[in-house]
Amino acid sequence: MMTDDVTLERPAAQGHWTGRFTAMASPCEVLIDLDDEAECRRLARLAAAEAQRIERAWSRYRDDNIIHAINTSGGRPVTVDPETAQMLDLAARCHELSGGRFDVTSGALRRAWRFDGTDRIPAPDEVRALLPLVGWRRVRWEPPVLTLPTGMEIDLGGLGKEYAVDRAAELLGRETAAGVLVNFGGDLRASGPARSGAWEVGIEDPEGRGAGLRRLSVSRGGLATSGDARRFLLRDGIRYTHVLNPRTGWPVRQAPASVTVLADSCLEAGLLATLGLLHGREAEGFLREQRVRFWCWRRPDAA
Amino acid sequence: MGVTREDRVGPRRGRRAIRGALAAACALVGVHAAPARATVIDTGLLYYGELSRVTAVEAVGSLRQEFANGRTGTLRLVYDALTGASPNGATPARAAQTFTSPSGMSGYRVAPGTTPLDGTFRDNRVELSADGTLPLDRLTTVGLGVRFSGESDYHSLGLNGSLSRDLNDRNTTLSAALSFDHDTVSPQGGVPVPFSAMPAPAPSSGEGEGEGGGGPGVGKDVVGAVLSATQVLDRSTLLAASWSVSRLSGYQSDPYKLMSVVDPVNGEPVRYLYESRPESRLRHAVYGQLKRDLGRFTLDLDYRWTGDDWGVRSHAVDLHTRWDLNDRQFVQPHVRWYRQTAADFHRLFLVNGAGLPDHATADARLDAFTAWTFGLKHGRTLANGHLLTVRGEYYHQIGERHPVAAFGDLRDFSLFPALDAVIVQVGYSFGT
Amino acid sequence: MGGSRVIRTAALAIAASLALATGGCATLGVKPWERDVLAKPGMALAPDRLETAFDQHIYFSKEAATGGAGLGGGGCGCN
Repeated sequence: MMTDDVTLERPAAQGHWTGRFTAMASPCEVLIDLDDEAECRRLARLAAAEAQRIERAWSRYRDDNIIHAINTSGGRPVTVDPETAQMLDLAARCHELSGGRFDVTSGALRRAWRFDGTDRIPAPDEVRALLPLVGWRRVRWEPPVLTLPTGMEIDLGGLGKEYAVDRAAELLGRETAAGVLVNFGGDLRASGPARSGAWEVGIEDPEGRGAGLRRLSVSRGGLATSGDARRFLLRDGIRYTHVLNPRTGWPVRQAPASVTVLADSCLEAGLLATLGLLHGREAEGFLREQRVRFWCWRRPDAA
Repeated sequence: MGVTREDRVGPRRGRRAIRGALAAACALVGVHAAPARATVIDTGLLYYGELSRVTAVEAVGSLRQEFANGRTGTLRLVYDALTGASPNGATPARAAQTFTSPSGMSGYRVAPGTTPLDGTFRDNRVELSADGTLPLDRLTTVGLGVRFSGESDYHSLGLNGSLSRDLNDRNTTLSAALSFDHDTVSPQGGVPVPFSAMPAPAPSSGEGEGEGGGGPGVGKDVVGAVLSATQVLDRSTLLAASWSVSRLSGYQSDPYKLMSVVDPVNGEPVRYLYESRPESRLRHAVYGQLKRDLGRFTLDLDYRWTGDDWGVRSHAVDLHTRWDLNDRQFVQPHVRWYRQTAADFHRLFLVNGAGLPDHATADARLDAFTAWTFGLKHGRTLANGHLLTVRGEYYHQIGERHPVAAFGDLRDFSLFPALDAVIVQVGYSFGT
Repeated sequence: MGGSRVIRTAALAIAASLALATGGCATLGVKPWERDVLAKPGMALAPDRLETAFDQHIYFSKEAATGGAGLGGGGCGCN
């Protein structure tokens, strides 16, 4: 177990303990409003173990998990575990609800698009050749058996981090009645306020310039951000976001640079933020109709 | 780079609104959102007015709080004030009649040919209740509640407990509940002996009329049980059913209600006796409810049947149709039909010279009748997220005014006191 | 009015409820992600608790029957 690299600290002015560790390529922290140091360490370790478990199960960089088995199945049916099955059900439902914009099979387009900050955008033929390998409708999903045509791939990365945040928060919620905030690299979930009041959360400009632009008091709910950060291409003064439209294979036109959503759970917030981005120019209109609090950052040079 | 200012929730038309569906989708992977509102406060004010008879105003406030681990607690406070006149059980007569008021302090006269009404009532009632639920595990919940109600001549203390369990992926919920109530009535002027004669008014001593209970009271106990089941039929349909039984034991007569003992030839009153009801009552009820979503409309159809060993059987059919005008407003028309049979011991009057039955009451509420309710409700979510509702209803009871049993002068009078009432209610709810 | 008729009706209601709960339920019902419509406020069994309580009080004091939707043994001196 890698949970030994959980550090625990409590700065003098605060009443809560903070456990820190690394998972999913992000700095993770768990804030627990209890005085008992040993108990907080135990809870932080539980959260870290859960995050690392989910990362191991669905990371596309590993060769020993179900994702790898699916993506190298060569068109043969694969029986998945119950948790992955639930996640695929969710992916199917989101694909339906988003009118096809949300698609966990769009990862194949990464073979043409490498968002490395250069100006190398692919040729239209390159992209067109990959389109037959993208599309949830081509997948045969009969729970618990998934049949993925050769050349296609499934990527659960877009849901995994927010899911892990909610799982960790709900796990801790069952272990303690104290206020808890779980924050994995900016995607967070609060289940109960601290004794001194709600948790103070800052939302920053994605360019990282200056102090937090907004301050929020959150005692319950989830916050998630979807954005292009350093993943983009810049050519002729036009920035191409890494968020691709699975139907055309090209980046979503006029997408915001970043969308942050506050909802009842981190997963819900993350899905709404991603869907917001996928609506491109209509991001604000779409998010307004969802009756959630949201923040959109735009760049003047978007495609 | 520019920041869009959108940190407020906008009230646009939700054609692309999928948040609810998304939240439901998250439940697929076991992610259950934190409750949208941890604290809910409901307030309501009701006005009830019968045409020239009873008027009542009732105010209610309730606070419901969700705690960690799914526990909930609710506190509820009710205050109601009642004034006006209600039928005292005696029959109309050709001559003017005089009755003694319940306190025995004074008398009141009733015009010839009219339904005798006792107009000396004025009462205030306060009720306080506390309920809590506690999840035993993911699928089982235990509930506990206590309630106290008090007015000048009546006090009630009740305790209830329930257990419920979800099955079949939460598509089915089964529950069982038990309740105990102990009521005490200490009527003004004391508890009348059943079938005793109405006394003459005591010489007026100038004391206040209308309020103040007298002396030690008598009590009754109510034990009840309910078994219920709820089943999701499909995405838009819900069905609920329950069976309940209750047993009442103790003093159940209305201490203020009289019966006319009438002359066997002309039907004119000779004297008045207090009513007498059995000390035991066993009642069953069967209830079914169907809820169906039809897009902009939601249908709610209820049916209830009751039966007891006093001979009263009833049917009630209730239909609410909620029409969502948009995502902030709705109107809801409502129709209710109710019919009950008379209690076995219900008599419109007693005949002088004929022997007394074991029990008798002339209370119109135990007579046979049909009642209709027509109502309309409007609900609006305000800009601040609070819910304001306004409701108006009309209630009408129809009974046999000229029953076959009427003879002599009684044939000329209406023997069923008509009931027409208007109800107006305003509600305001909010939460965090 | 025969007590046996009351008992027979009650037994039928219980049997129906149990049959609902155990028998037909393998096929009846929805998956967790199909509960969006059921979550609408108008679809709650008692969408307005205050209105239900007010009505129960009025009908309890003007009619001879009570119970059914919930428990309602005593409470006030209005009947």
